[in-house]
Amino acid sequence: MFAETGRALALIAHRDPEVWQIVGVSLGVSLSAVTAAVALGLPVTYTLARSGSRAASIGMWLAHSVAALPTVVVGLSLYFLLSASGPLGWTRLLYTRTAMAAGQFVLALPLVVAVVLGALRRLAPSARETLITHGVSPARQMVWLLWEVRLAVTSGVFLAFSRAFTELGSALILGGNIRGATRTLTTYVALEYNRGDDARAIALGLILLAVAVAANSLMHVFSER
Amino acid sequence: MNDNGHALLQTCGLTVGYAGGTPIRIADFALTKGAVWHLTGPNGSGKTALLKTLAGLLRPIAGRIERRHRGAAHGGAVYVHSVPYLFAGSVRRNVLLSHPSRDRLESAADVFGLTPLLDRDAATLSHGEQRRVALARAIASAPEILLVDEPEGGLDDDALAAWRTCMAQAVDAGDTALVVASHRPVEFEGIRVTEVRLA
Repeated sequence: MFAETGRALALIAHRDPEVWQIVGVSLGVSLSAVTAAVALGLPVTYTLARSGSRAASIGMWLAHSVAALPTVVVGLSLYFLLSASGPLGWTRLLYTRTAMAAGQFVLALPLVVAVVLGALRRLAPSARETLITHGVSPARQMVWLLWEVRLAVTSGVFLAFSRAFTELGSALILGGNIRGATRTLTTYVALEYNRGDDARAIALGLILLAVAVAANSLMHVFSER
Repeated sequence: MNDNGHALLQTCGLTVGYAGGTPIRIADFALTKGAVWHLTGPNGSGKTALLKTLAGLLRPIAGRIERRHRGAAHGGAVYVHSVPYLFAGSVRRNVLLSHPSRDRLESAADVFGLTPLLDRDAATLSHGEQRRVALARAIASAPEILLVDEPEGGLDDDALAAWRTCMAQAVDAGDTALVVASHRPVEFEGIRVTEVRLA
């Protein structure tokens, strides 16, 4: 075990180009997915929060339900949509980074919605009333209120990133672990483990762990400010 | 409650209240420039509901409000909560909420003794200071109708005097109509205050 870990650290230290290319793919796919989830999730969440307690409650239930989906179920669902015989087969997106980002988007979106919606629902009604009564436009109201719950927005973003970056099932099914194209840290760890190359699996696992810890540390720093 | 003149708003068959609460019928009235009203009544008599309805924050249960300014949702009316909400950031950021001119910002801050506090974090203010910021914020937005819920809670004597002077000036200039809900007497030197009691 110690020997394998030593070899793993040596692999990282020697900056194996393939390893770093895989790190780049992983970060690129996950950041794209999270960016899309935030861009769509924040306005949707704000609209849900404004639409009354029933709509917000249904939105919260839906977000929690989707957040609980196993990643392989998300991957399989999108696989059937994107496969050659599926309704979106014509897009030829299966086994591309876009398909992987779509899968991670589905995993990330409910986390953003659930965390931010909870915070917006806890915000005093007088916050929005103050904005309305001072003639603040609806678009600016959204910006002001999301700023009021910025800690929750930060938590939602980092939780979504952690979920997207560390998931395996959807990336494996939608990306296919194609070398130089759709191979990510998680799919490569699984491959090397299956092949019995423990040192490489440990090296990639350590990098995965380092990025996840860095993301959570960043979230902690933001929330302590 | 009927007034004539240049009405900023006029009500017709107005009933106010919260969902699931007791509806409160309000006699028809017109609110004119320079008017000062003091709403009194026991807890639950509808003072806050009426103020919020006039501000456009609460839908009337029945009846309608005809406003001179039809474009804006708030109809030129600004409502100040009994427990004001201050946004994260500095006092300046809060007073600048409605994008007042620099002169208005400075004037409102000066009247309420907030000039030395403008760059302070609003979260660190005392209750009384928060109320002063909320009043300054409302004044800075130059409302045609100012609706204030329990303005005097938490204000010290100086802030109370500043609030009365500021409102007296605005009302005297004919710029603003003022409706105050309060359990305490509402007095402005040289200005007639109409007391309206809600049952």
